[in-house]
Amino acid sequence: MSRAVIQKLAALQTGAANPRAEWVQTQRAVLLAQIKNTLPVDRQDSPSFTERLWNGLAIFLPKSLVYNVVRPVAVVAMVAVLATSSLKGAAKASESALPGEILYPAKRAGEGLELAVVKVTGLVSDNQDNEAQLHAKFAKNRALEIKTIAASDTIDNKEKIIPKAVSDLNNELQTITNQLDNLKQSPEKNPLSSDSVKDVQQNTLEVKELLHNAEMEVSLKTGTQEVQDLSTQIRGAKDSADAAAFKVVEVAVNNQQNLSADAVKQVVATAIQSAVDDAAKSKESAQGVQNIVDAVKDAIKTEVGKPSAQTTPSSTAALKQLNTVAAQTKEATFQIEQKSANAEQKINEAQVFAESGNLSEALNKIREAKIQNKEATQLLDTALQTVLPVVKVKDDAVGVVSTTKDLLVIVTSSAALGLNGTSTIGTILPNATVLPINSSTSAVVNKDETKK
Amino acid sequence: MTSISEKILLYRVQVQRDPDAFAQLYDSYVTQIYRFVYFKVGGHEEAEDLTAEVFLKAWNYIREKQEVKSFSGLLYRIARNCIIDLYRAKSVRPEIMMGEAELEVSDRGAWYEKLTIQVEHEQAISALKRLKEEYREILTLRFIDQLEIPEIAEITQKGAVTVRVTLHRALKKFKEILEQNR
Repeated sequence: MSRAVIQKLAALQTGAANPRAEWVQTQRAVLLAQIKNTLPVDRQDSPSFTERLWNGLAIFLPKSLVYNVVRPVAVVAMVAVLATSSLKGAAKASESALPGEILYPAKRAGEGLELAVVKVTGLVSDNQDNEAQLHAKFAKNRALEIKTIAASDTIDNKEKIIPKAVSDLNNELQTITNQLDNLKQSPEKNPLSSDSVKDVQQNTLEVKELLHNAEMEVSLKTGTQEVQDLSTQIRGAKDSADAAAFKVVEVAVNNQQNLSADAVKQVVATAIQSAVDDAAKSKESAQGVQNIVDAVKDAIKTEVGKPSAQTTPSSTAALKQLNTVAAQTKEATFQIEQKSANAEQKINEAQVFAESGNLSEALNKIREAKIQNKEATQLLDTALQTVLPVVKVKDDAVGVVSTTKDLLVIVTSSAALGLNGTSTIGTILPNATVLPINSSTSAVVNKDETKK
Repeated sequence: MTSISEKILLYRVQVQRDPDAFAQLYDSYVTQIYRFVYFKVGGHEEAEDLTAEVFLKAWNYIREKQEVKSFSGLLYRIARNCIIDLYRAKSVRPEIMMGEAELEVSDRGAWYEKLTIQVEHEQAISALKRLKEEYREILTLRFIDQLEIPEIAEITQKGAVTVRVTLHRALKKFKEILEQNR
């Protein structure tokens, strides 16, 4: 029964209770005319875009949601985007900033942000090598800063800025070394990518090279005592960079199965090349020292031999000492050349092993070559230490060479592996051109120029 | 009309002030609202006036950027208020009038069938109009306009359970009246 009643009611849908069709049409036209009349007034205060957006959203979502949730979230997101993009922008602008400059903190903050991002995302994928890669990049930044400061003529308190930068660099290198150690011990936990290995190696080698240049610059620009301090510090960092670069090779060789064969070979080849360069450098440096000593000897002999020269007891003693030193230097040079030759021999063997695919044996040979290079640089350092007193003696022997205070000779030992750094021979010579010094390993500069 | 297309039209009306969108909304709802009004008032003339008023008020309401959850809900609410205003103005109960349906006595015996249907409609309408206001409204909404219980609850601003109970009672009463009229 009730179904029939409901049907009766439903039937009214089409029945007499409906409006007349023509009324519906005319009413539509009337209504349109009426509402269009209200429009021109409205158009004048037409709402802004954002107002429209919120109103529009409020139609599709509950109004309370739009105004209490969506809008605040959108505002916060906008602020976050602006904040991070401006921080990024500041980091970009400060890329070339140096320690002590206004923008430098922004540069470091930018690096910190980058690291934080990698750390957060790195936790997800657990690839620590990305972090090592970043630290290598930062280390390169520090090394570049050190070099730029060392080379700069306008920066004043270098002896304060450089040690700070060197200590930052050491921290980065220490982090890299620690992470590489972790990778070495448990390679399966932290899988490496071929690219990151190559990248870290490249960057650490560049750090080494930059520090080498910085050392030269420091020797050229500052006084003797400060040179000693700064160059010792830079040399230490150079050692760390070199150790890190070699550790990369070890990690790569230990992880061969996880990396592409080409990448590992390339890393080993780069290491071999680096060792070759180091050996050549120490040989050249040794030759350079030898040349200087010879030249000093010749110059003094010439001066003393001149009829106008006044021979004093001190100058005679100086000559004697010079002869001894010359003999020592000759011996040292010979030993250094021996060591370098040994290193070259080892490197050749490493090359053969690397080509035959026996990378771990190649690694051992590179390590041995590095030891030879290290010994060579130690010898070189000792040789320079013996040469230095001679120069002091010569400084006293003003009578022998009287007209020569305007020239300063600096020998930079660009010794291999960065184990040895700079020694400066401040020497007074009658004529700079008599020194056949190897241009790549030493420099002859006018004393006046260095004071600029 | 789906709720999404209704929302889009609503968006065009509220944000873009688009009269054509409002016209489309009018097309969708005019018959429903008209019937709803018609069952509450005396006759077609009053129903026409009130329906026109309802749509104009709805436009103004939307224009003032008030929150609109459902356009049909808004229309019914406005219609109810308009009717209440009308009652107040008249200060009397609405007169119960028989619908002035025209009867076309036409050819080929179809007129008889038409007449039967029309008589049935007249009976139903007259029974509806004798129901009390609350029952009439709820029956109209549920069975003629085919609204769902939650929608009715929103329009009448009552709980869903109350709506069901009222609906049940209204249907019972409606049946009684129909039977009495036989």
